Order: sequence, then C-alpha cells, then structure tokens
Amino acid sequence: MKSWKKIWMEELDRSVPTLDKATKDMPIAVGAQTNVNRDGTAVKSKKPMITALATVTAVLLLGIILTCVLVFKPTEAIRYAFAIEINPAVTLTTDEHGNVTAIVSANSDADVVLSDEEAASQIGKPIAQVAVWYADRAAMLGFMDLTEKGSAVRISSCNGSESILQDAQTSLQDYFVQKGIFAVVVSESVDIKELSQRCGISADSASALANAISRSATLFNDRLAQAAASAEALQALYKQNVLSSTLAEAIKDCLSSNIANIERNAAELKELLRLYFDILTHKDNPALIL
Amino acid sequence: MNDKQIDKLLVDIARGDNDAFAELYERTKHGVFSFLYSYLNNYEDTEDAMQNVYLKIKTNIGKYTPDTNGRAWILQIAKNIALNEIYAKKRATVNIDDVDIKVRDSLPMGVSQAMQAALDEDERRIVILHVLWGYKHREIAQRLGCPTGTITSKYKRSVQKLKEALKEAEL
Repeated sequence: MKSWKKIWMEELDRSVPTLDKATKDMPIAVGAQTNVNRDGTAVKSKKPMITALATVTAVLLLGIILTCVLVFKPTEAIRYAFAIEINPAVTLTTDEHGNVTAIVSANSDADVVLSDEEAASQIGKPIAQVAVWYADRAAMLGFMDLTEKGSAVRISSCNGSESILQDAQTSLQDYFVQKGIFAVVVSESVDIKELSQRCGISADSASALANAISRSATLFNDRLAQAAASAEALQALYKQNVLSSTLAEAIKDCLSSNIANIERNAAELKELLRLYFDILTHKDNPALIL
Repeated sequence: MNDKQIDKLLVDIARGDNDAFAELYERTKHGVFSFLYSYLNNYEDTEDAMQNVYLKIKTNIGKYTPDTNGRAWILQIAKNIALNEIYAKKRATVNIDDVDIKVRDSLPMGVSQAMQAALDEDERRIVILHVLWGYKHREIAQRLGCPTGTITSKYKRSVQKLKEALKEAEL
C-alpha cells in the first residue's frame, strides 16, 4: 500500500501546472541587483532602519518632501523623500521633478499592496499620481474604509518643493472628493529629526535619509527579517518604532528561539525587554487607545 | 531541497540564467502550489497565483540577498500574493445577474483536499513546510516561535489525522 506521501507527490505531479511560457521566456533583469558581488557573495552593508507604524481607524496620510542634494557627483539630481502613512504605510523618494524613484513599505500590510504588479510601474511617475494610486489600491484591498467620516490627511515638507507638495495635496484632495470620502488634507513643515521619525529611518541629514530610503528592501518583512538577525539591529529597530503587533510577534519569535543565547546574554535581554515595555506603554502607541 | 541549493539557484537566476529559473520551478513547484492552496483553497486561483509567484521571483530577483534564507524569501512572496488575492476577493462586488454560474475546476479528492478538511491552518503549514519544503522540525519551530517538541507532536498528530481522513475517503 502506498504511503500518503507518495500518493500526495503523485497527486501534485498531476495537478501542479507547468510554467507559463510567457513567464519562462521573460528575460531576467540582470544588473539590477545591488546586493551581490561579482562572485555571487552578498555585499555587506548597513541595514537600514525602518518604522512600523500602528494602524489607526482615522486615515492619516503623511507626505514629507525632503530636498536632498547628493554630493556624489556634481550632476546628481536633487532627491525628495516622501512617507505616505495610510494603513498600510509606505515611504517614497522622488527626483527633483517630483517623479518617484523608489517605494518601500513601512509595515507588513504595505507588503501586500506593493506586491501588486502595478507597484513597480509607479516608478518614474509623479508623486501626486502615485499617492492617488496607492490610496486607491489600499482602499481596494480593504485597508481603508471609504465610508469612514472625519479622516485626516497630513502632508509635511522639510526644505522641500512647495509646488510638488501642493500638487500631491491637491491630487489627494481631488481623489477623496471624487470618491466621496470625508478627508481633510493638511500641510505642515518639519525638521529633519521629525522627518526621520515619520519615515521610520534613522538619519541625521536629508541626504542620508533619502539614500537610506532608496537602499531599503522594498518589503517590510524583508527588512524585519534582516533586522531580527542581530540583537543590535533589533534593539535599534525598537528605538525607532511605535510597537505594532507584527513587530511584537517578531521580537517574541526572536526571543523564544534563542533561549540559549539569551541566557548567555542576560543583560542584553533585560535591555530588550525594557525597551519592549517602554514601547508598549509609550503614549503614542495606538494599542493603548484601542 | 535545502537553503543552499535554493540560494545557489537564486544567485544563478540573478546572473541571468534562465535554466536555473526553470530548475527552481521544478524543485519548488510542489511546495509553492501546496502553500498557496492552503490559503486559497481553490485550484483555479492557486494556478493563477503560482504563475504570479514565479513572475515575481523573476522581476524581484535583484532584491534577493545571497546566503540568506532563499526558501523563506520564496514563501514570503507566495504568502503576499495569496493574501493579496484574498483581500481583492473580499473587496470585489459582483452583480448576481452578470455571473455565469459554472462548476469551478477543483482538485479531485486527494491528499490536498484531505488536508484542507482534516487539518487546521497551523497543522497544514507544518506538514507542507516539513514534507515539501524540507524544513526540519527545529527550523519550523524557530520559524513559528514555539518549542521543537510542540512541532514534532503536532506533526505526528497531523499525519495521524490525515491518514484517518484518507482512509475514510478510501484512497
């Protein structure tokens, strides 16, 4: 009598489809990889810090324009950074014309939105258009309640282009009006420290922030996995974040799977736990409200 | 199939080797299919999602970091696509008058169906990760954040339940 595993394998052999010809023949984007040396080994680089922002019932859209002059080459384009924090949240960079150059997710829910095939095609489009696409996609996937009244949208800038800021604000406002969503779009200016916190990326200058965003892995869970590999990175991650359930689970997983190491590093564990409870009881933690 | 083998294939794919991509498909198709099916519970949707997974692997291969967890990277892509599909279906509104009622293609009653019926989500996940993805119980325990003993006993229980379900279906 066949074992259930053998039966299962035969069943899968019959059921699993063959690879689609279009996918099979599609050329691979060689050269796009920035994290591999020529011999195929990984490039060792600093892992960027990320922010996982807790979800709230009211929609908060935050766009932050950052003017950043990159001094690598005299002809380097001015780069802007945006953080859009709808539930889910993303961070973007743009060039001097306000065209998006990179999008990264700021929490695991955003991974779902950015896994969409259209996400990659947003690169190169104006930030105003991409913000509307993102808001629409998040709504379509059920992350935004379009019937919610009293939603607030905030767009902030830091030494940024006022015209790009205004375009994004106007486009979002028009989108919400079209959809019949009660949302107020407000703009404000912030300093680099506040900007870094809102983007969830540690940086002490505008150029460093834009670079860090551009070099971040697109998906939140990829960055979380990378950060969880070292206690130092995880600790720093905590310092940057308002605790979300995803992050709490990741840290619990990390703690429970390294009991032996934790016993050897009791002091480190104590500090982690202290940070954990600091964040749990932080005044900005929406979990306290909900 | 282990992480080193998957990692080597992903690195080769990143260099533009389409043969490596074809080999990756052959080595991982059962695991990806079963993983997706455990979320979607529907053959048609799983079939579509599978193509999307491998398309996503090809288009995002530049984002894979060598010497990290290749299996987890692929599974994360699959999970995101499955969740995307589930959320999209939740939001879809359909006019009943426009719907053609037809019998959907579905898997014939077999091990996959028995797993959906007899096992809960965690149990299915453990069986798929162990049998199809080659994860050891210890690795699954680390991934799911529980003791190895728990995973071992859950796996044994799951296999027992599965065998009983298959016996009832007379397979």
